[in-house]
Amino acid sequence: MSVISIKNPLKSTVIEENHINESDDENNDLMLDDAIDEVLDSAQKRYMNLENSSIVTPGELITEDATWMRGHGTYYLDDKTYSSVAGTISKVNKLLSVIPFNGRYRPETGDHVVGRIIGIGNKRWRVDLGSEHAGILVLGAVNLPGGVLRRKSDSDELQMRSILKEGDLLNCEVQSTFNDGSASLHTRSLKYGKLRNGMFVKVNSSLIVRTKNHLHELPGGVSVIIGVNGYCWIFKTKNQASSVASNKAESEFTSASNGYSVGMGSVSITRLEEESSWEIYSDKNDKISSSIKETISRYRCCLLALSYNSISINAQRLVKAYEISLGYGEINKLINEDVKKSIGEDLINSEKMRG
Amino acid sequence: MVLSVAESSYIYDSLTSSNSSRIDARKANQYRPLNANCGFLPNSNGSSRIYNADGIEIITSVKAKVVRTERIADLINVDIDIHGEKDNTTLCQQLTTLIKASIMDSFQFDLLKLTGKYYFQLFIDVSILYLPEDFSASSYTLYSLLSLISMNVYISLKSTKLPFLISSKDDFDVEEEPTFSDDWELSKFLIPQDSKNTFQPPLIFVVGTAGEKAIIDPSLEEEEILEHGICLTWSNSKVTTPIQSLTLSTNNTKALKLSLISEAIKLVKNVAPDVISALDTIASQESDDFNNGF
Repeated sequence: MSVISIKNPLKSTVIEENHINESDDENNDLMLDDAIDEVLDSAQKRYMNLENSSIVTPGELITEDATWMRGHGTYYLDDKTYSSVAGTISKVNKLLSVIPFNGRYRPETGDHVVGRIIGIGNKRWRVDLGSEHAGILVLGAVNLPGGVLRRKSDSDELQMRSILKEGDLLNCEVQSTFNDGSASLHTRSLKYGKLRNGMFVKVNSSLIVRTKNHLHELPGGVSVIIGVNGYCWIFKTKNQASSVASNKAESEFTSASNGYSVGMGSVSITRLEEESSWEIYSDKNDKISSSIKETISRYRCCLLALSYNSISINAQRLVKAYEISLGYGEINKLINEDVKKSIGEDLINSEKMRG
Repeated sequence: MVLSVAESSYIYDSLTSSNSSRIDARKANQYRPLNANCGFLPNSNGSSRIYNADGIEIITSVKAKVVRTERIADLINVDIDIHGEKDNTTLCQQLTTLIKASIMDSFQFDLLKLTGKYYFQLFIDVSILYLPEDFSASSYTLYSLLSLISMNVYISLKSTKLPFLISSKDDFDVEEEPTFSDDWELSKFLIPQDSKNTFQPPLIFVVGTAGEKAIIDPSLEEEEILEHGICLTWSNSKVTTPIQSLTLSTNNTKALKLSLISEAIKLVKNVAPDVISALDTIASQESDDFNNGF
């Protein structure tokens, strides 16, 4: 097992250049002409009418037609519209925009995201989401410890740091977005809130597909939150602590067989009081065994391997990558770039086999 | 980067627990993968580039000049330029001093001796081209760069070539300016590659400590929770000066235990031969053609 690996990135390019030198010049010229013709053709096509779902590069002319409305990812000079990013063209009625392949996360209402508190301001927290603007979490959009439902007062405002402070990671939903692309967040559900018992990983946000559910329980006693903004949190799966609450309801229910009274056997809809004591804003980790920690590290390596290979990320793929990674032996080998690459190849091959 | 309390205690606990583990699953003596190449700057005698997965990229050039001097301290000049930092910041100056001190302490100056009166003067210019964006607004200092800079300087010194002298070596009696051969093919390595027992450039290792554990090449997350950093120099197959304590981050610093220094020395002894041989491999893969450098 080597301690260090240093690669020379130039070796492969040297080989490629030899290839080019081998082919004779005449051939090269002919090929070049063909290539230019091809480019011209496609450019002309674009002058005439817009091609559907074509890929553009920054600075490329999209259309000379001035009737289009210019959306995101475009700019214009002398009534000609150019692309300002690399991506695909999207047209909605007369609105023309380019959706970038890569880039910063753009919040949309309803996105399940993971964020980090970067500042506290007037009745609000500023949250880093990896987007152009920091997200905003207003004091009114969090659950108070103890599940008290009331208007937030001045004393709550003074205590904001005891709920969430700078550096804290939280798990929240985009409530609405503003014109400039910034987001307003909320954590008004028991599945959202402060994160602990685990490890943070950042991957490229363009790799993450919006799905119904972003919190997944994975084999090995580990869960993952794959935030739409590319921020992920891998943590030890929670013990079924809520069983206490359901037991209570059950016992009430059995006692109800003797005689029924109104409200008996019911559980509060949100279970706020049972579950959201001060503990939901605690900074202390539970006891985590070293085997769970190793599994968490392995999932982290797998997420990074998927990101390294630019494979879009979902829970099934992550589990599959985890299974493949088990075949590579010791966990410390997974940081090697060759291993990451071959995990990606294995994953793609296995998906091809399944069809 | 600021970590949450839960996060940093997770990292700290897993590092200091009995079966210690690092969050990126490395062993205590394992480096992150690096990329490096050398000999791509046509105007310099030796050059190298190194970058890691975090995106930190450093290039170094070694340029030689013929001077007539007796003062050995003038023969080696080190200059470090960090993108986005002024030259007179403490960080720049301390890095420069440390790198220069490490080279001066162990350098074999007769390699630079040209004739009776003339010496080669070396200018080692290090340029740090890119740093991760959150470096500026964070609690970690940049001292961990030291190890990467020193690796880079090592590769470029190893790949430095000097022109072949055709005038006589003994110029005490006759006043003669040194003349060199026009043919670059005849140039010789500053540090001869064939013989085993000659001088090797020094390497600086940065070791981080937390609790009773010492780890090599701490990642940014780890630097947040480390209690102390130690830099050690490895030269000619042994640990030498400068050995110095470094503040890797301003967060969690505590006093340094003496036993940890010997732990760090043990760790460096363990990894140094592997690092040296990996760097030597890169230094020997000099690009034949300047054109394929970029």
